[in-house]
Amino acid sequence: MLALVAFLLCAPPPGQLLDLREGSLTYTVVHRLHEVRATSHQVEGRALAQPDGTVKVQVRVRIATFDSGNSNRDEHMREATHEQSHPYAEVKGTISGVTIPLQQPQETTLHGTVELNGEKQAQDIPVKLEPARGGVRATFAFPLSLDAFKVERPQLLFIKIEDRATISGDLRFEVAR
Amino acid sequence: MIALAAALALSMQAAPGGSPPPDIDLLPPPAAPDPAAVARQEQLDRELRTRRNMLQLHQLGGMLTLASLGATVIFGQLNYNDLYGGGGYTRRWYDWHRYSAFTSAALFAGTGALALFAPSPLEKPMRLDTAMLHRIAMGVATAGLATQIVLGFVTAGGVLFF
Repeated sequence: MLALVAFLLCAPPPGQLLDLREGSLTYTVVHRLHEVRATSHQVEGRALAQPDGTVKVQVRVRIATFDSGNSNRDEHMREATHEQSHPYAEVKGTISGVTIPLQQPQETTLHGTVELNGEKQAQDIPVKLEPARGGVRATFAFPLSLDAFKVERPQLLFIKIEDRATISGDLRFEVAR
Repeated sequence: MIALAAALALSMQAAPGGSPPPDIDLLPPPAAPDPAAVARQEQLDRELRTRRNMLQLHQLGGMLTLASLGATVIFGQLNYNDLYGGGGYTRRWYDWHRYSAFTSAALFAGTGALALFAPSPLEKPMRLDTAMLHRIAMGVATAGLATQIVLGFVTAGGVLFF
């Protein structure tokens, strides 16, 4: 009996696994003098589509891979987010009512948790899903508060950047082989 | 027992449409840092704090340098007008120009030193970005300022300084 319990606990959950094949994540922050966008193309992710239409999603990116076009600024961002202690920013969550393979574009919401700077915040993220080569393309954008994640906002000329940052992404998932 | 096992297995699945599950681990966890990495991390944190403080002062130094250079230009023009532009050769702006020039040079050097000697513990690729353009521009400005200092002494030599 114990073996059965162990088997059931360890057995992979039923569903279809999708791997993130390509994509980018961008953060946008605003300073009184200019707007900064930084992008990373080194995104890792996986999704598990379950038979009941629930999709579990995990996407993460190394903080060090964001490129804003200014190496000093990128270094400062790594410092502000304590990248040495918390090298990844991550989103985990679930989407309901999605059937894979996707037949048509669909707008939905991911109910999830965003982790940045070692802090976690619940976040509802509007996501647009489209059928894509061998899987699904997901595009999204959502705001977050840097203060809520205890990020010491960087300053330029002694003026801090705004608290609100926007995270946007364009990710393509393919059915895992 | 079977019912218990089934209940346990079902409890691992997210409730459709409900709040997010406590944790979803679909990706392999990142490797945990070893003690040596933790020690290096603490060292990096210290160096990054020092770097941040020095670069904040670098920004302040830049603004003060800009202000003092502006003052130097104004006093220099007033001094020129006084000496060679029909101003009566009173030398009333001479010391103003002289000391604002010295102040500018000192501020410029100190501001540059703050950036040059700031620790840079994180590996950064060498590439042409706005930070590199700033470094190149400041290299040209340093050459220009050094030339100005030499020209200042040469121009004033024998007339103003001796």
